[in-house]
Amino acid sequence: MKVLNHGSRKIEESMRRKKILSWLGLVLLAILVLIQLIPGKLPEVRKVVPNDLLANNTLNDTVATLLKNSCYDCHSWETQYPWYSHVAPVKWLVGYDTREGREALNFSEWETLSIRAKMKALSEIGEEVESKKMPMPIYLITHAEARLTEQERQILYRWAENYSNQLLE
Amino acid sequence: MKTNKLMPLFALLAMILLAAFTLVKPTTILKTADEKNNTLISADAKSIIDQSCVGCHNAESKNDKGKTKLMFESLDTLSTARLIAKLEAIHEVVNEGSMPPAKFLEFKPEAALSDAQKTALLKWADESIESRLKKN
Repeated sequence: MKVLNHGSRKIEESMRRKKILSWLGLVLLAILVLIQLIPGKLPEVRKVVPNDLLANNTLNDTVATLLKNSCYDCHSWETQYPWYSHVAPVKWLVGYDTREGREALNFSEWETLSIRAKMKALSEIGEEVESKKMPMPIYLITHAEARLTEQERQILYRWAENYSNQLLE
Repeated sequence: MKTNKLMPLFALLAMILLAAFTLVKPTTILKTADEKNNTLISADAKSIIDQSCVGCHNAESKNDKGKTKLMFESLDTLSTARLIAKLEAIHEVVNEGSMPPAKFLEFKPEAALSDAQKTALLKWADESIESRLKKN
């Protein structure tokens, strides 16, 4: 009698646990659905970019490809948004980072910068890339193609340095 | 006899001159060293920078971010291109008012830049950049 009682209590407990878990899942799902209704758009994408760095300068192919693959999603008007970036809460994160990125440096507006502003940008590109602060680690989780090898970091660093020195001439 | 009488006077004069020389010489040396630094950071700018910026932007700073971004004492070791880049960054953050950071000013309100100080710093950065751009 005692053993039976103990066993049924165990079953009861596990059923209660399952119930709580499924409720929790439902609540989370509801929240996920509901936050999709919060208004807010991803930063705009522009296809026509007359002031773009790559459009106005003949860059070494390797450098151009590195910039396109590793920087342009956040640092240009030509962001390529993956499907999940349209789903909140990822949308908020991607939107925030893209806005911040463009504000700090927008390669699509390169030719609107003064010489001194270009030199500042180039110096910071070198620093950020060399110290591995950029591309941001969270971006690299889903963008393996944006990862930079040590050698590629050096290529970008030297490009930035040479370009900046050329601007002085 | 007459010259003998004047000897101590000459000696005194010579000693005064010598003393004057030894006193003057080091100060002139200091002055030229100062002038050398001044070609980059003007006296005007220096007093503002010492008051509001150097606390974080120096080699011994505990603020790692501030230190890696900018160290005032090593500005003159940079290449011209990098120096212009740093001066432009200074110009930008002072102009938009993001430096000194608001959080820091909560602790140290006396580091806040007055409008006149901002103008002076901006002018200094501006002139330092433009003179280097023109030279090349």
